[in-house]
Formats: sequence, C-alpha cells, structure tokens
Amino acid sequence: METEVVRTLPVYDSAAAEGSPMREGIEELVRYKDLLRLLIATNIKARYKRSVLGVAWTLLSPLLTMIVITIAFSAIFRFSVPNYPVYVLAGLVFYGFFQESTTQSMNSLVWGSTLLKKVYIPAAVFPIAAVGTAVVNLGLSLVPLLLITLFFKQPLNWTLLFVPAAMVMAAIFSLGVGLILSSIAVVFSDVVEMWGVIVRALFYLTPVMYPEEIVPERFIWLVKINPLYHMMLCWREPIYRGALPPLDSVLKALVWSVGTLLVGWWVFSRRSHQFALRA
Amino acid sequence: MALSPPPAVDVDRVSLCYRVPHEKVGSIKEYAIRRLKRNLMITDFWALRDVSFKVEAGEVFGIVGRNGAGKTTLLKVIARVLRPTGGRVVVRGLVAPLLGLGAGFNDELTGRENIFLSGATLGFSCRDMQTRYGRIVEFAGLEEFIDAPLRTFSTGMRARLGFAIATDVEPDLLLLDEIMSVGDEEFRRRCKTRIESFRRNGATVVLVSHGLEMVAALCDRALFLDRGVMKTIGPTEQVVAEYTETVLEPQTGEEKEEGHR
Repeated sequence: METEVVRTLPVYDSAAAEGSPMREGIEELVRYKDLLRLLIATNIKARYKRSVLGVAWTLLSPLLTMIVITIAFSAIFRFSVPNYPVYVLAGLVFYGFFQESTTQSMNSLVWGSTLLKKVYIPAAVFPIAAVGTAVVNLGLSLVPLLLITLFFKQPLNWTLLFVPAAMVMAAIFSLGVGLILSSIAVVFSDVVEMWGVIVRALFYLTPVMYPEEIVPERFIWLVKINPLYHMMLCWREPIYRGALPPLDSVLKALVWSVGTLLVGWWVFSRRSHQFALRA
Repeated sequence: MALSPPPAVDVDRVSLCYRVPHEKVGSIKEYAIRRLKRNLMITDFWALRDVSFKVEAGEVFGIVGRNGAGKTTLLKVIARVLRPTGGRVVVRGLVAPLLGLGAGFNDELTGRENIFLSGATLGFSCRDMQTRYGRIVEFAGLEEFIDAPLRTFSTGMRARLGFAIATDVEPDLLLLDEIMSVGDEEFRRRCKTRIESFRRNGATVVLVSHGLEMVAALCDRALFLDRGVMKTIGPTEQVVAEYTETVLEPQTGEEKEEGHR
C-alpha cells in the first residue's frame, strides 16, 4: 500500500452534497446497498427468530380476521359477493401491507435517527428497509392467500402474473408515502399516532370489506380518487377474479405511485441532512 | 518532490447551527398551539462559528477545549455526520471514524452477524467484511463468544468489538474522540499500538481530548476551541500553554476527566 503512490482516494465534499441532493442520495444508497439488505434480513429475522409461531402468525392473523369479518358480514354480502372470504382476504393482506410499510417507515427512521447522530449513513436506508421488509411479508402471505383461493374452488389463472407488477407499484407508492411521513415523524413524534387514525379511516373508504357496487352513485368519486383503490384492484382482480385489472386503474396506479415516490424522495432528500441535528 | 499533496482535511469557514426550541416541541399539536399563541421560541445555537483549518496528510492534529466548546461537533462535521450550516468541508481518503463505536449494533443478533451489520453501517460490503472477519474476531479476542447474541456481551466486550471493526482497515484518516477509556488495560495497550502503527504508515489523525498529556504527547499541531470559536491554532506546545492559561488556571480540577458520550 505504501508503494502505491497514486491511488484514487474517496473524497467527501460537503458542498457537492448540497448541490443535487436527489441524485447524491441515490448514489449513496447504491454504496450502502449491503446495509439495506442486512437491515431487511434483520427485520425479518427479528420477527421470526424468537417464536416458532412467528411465520405462522403473519399468515394466521389475516386469516383469523378474514374469518371474523366473513361471519360478521356474510349475512349482508352473501349474495353480491361470491367467494367473499377470498375477496376479503386479498383486500386485507393488501391493506395490511400499506399500513405496515408506511407505519414502519416512520418507526424505523425514528429509531435510526439515534444512529444518524453517531455515524454517517444515508438516512433513506431506514424507510426503504421498512418497505422492503413489508414486501417480503406480502410475498409470504401470498401462500395462504392462494391456498384459500384454491380451497374455494376459485381457479388460479395466468393473470396472476400481473400480481408482481401490482406489488411493485404498491411498494413504490408506499415508499413515497413513507418517505414523506418519516421525514415529518423525526420532528413530530405524534405523526405516528395521527397516521394510525388516518389509515383506519382510509380503510373504510377503500372497498376492502365491501364491494364497490354498494357505494351510492353520488359518493363513487370518493372511491375513485383514492389511489389505494386502484392499487388494490391491480392486486386483487388477478387473484380474486382471475382477470386483468381495468386499464384505467393500472394507469392511475402507475401515475400515483411514481408521482408519490418522486415527491417523497424530493422532500426526504432535502431534509435528511438535518435529521442528525435534532437534539 | 513536485506538488505537495492536497490537505487531508480542509475545513473552510465552517459554521454549524443547532436550532434549539426553548422547550422541546415534540408534537404537531403542541406546535400548532404554540404557533397560534405566537409562543414558538427557537434559538439558534451556533456550535461552531467560522472555523477554518487544514490538516496535512500524515499530520496528527489535536482539538482541545472545554466541555461544550464544539470539539465533538467539529469532529462530526469532518466525519460527515453533521453537514455544516455554512462553509465547506473537504475530506480526502478513507476515514475510520471512532466516534460512535458499535453504533449499529443489534442486541438480538449474534456477534458474527453484528460484525457484518456494523461493517455495513461504515459503508463496507459483506464481501469486504468476509475477508476481514477472522482478523476482527481475533483482535477483539472474542473467539468463544462470537456466536452468542450480543445482549450477552459485557460493555467491555462490545467496545472491543466496535473498535476492532472500525479499525480493521488501513485508514487514511483516523478520527478519535476520547475513546481510549474503554476495555481493560491490555486491550487499551493494543488499541494504542494499532493507532501508532496507522501513524507510522502515514495516516492522518484528528483527535479530540480533554487529556492534555495525550495531546501534548501525540500531536504535531493543535486547535483550541472556545464556545465554537477558534482561539488558538498552531504548534502543540503553544496551544497547550494557552489552553492551560485560560481554562485550567481559573478553575482547576473541575474539567479534568469528564468523558462525555
């Protein structure tokens, strides 16, 4: 090493980082991709390591909710929604993903901010790892979901190939939301609770438990402006109906997800260097 | 001898401002209420003001000053943890920041897993860490415990592991912040030996210390920081003399060994 006089040194220049935070942030993430991978692996392990039922619980909890909801609502919806349990479970799993990824984005950054005061890490690894973890969990819950679908004699269709695309769009959208929320939550910790209330309200505005047909004509716009509705259709239609989602919904989901991520990244990368300054 | 190499650390008119609310406003509710009552008192606390200096490659540079003078903040600015509010910092070379040793540790993971995780927080890939793993475990002296969860480790063991991970590189720049008080006597000696060998190999060292003997013994040049402002900069003896005169004389004893975290 001493013999090698000319070697390219890594250079940190604080002025360069200020110039274009959005691009700089992406370059840094590429450099820290192994940290991202390890954080996701740690999250998954933490969930499953300490209990045998760990994996089972992720799968069981939407199943149990499905059973409860089916019993409670079967009297109302029995005729309008065939194979109601499949319909509900697909929706619940999807909505659970959105809830988990956005909430954990905030929690992980709040947790990570103590780390950011000691070592330099691109702050975005925390929300991204949270969403990545949720994606893995969503993938795992596909297993019971598809089993239930088969159990109800709903044939699995080639349209299932669209499901990964739906997952990617949902992940991009959730990350965008997570980035915005987490950059606020670092400063104001009650955002986590407020978001909990909002997510629950949104749940009832999204046709998860009920078919959209029961929404009165004059309120249907409320469903249609909800990006989660379109995202969920992209996910649920191939599983539940064995059909491709309506093109209109695919396009809307795509625009919403990319747009939200861009806004989120813009907000986050402009604020991230201040996180370590918070006392 | 053609051109002299560029400085390893170039701190150029750096200021750093913490925005400190008078009372901690931690929720939107409180923020809104205070906003309405026009009661939002935020003071700008300038931890560093207009600090400029250069550290040449291979130099050992000390920073002295009272508690709260901005020493650690300055070190964090160099380590990229804090971005300067004003001014510019340029750092050339691979940095081994011994500031937050073991900052990325996770209690539930084993020692082995933590080596990879902690290495990743320092920006090293898993493949990098694979080749270093054996050396790190050996230096930390933790062969028998490495597969136990970290929560079973003692404070000293954690510190050893943290130090071993952070220094298992041939750094161009070493940032030291009062860390020499960890571990047992024997481990401290090994730390010292390792830092010495970095120096001999031409690494630049920036160190913060209350312990004047350490600064006097190790540093080529030093900076005396007082309430975020540069008081004196120059050869170590001169700075130490000045520091002793202004700080230690009027209030002896009080500030001696207060390692703060």
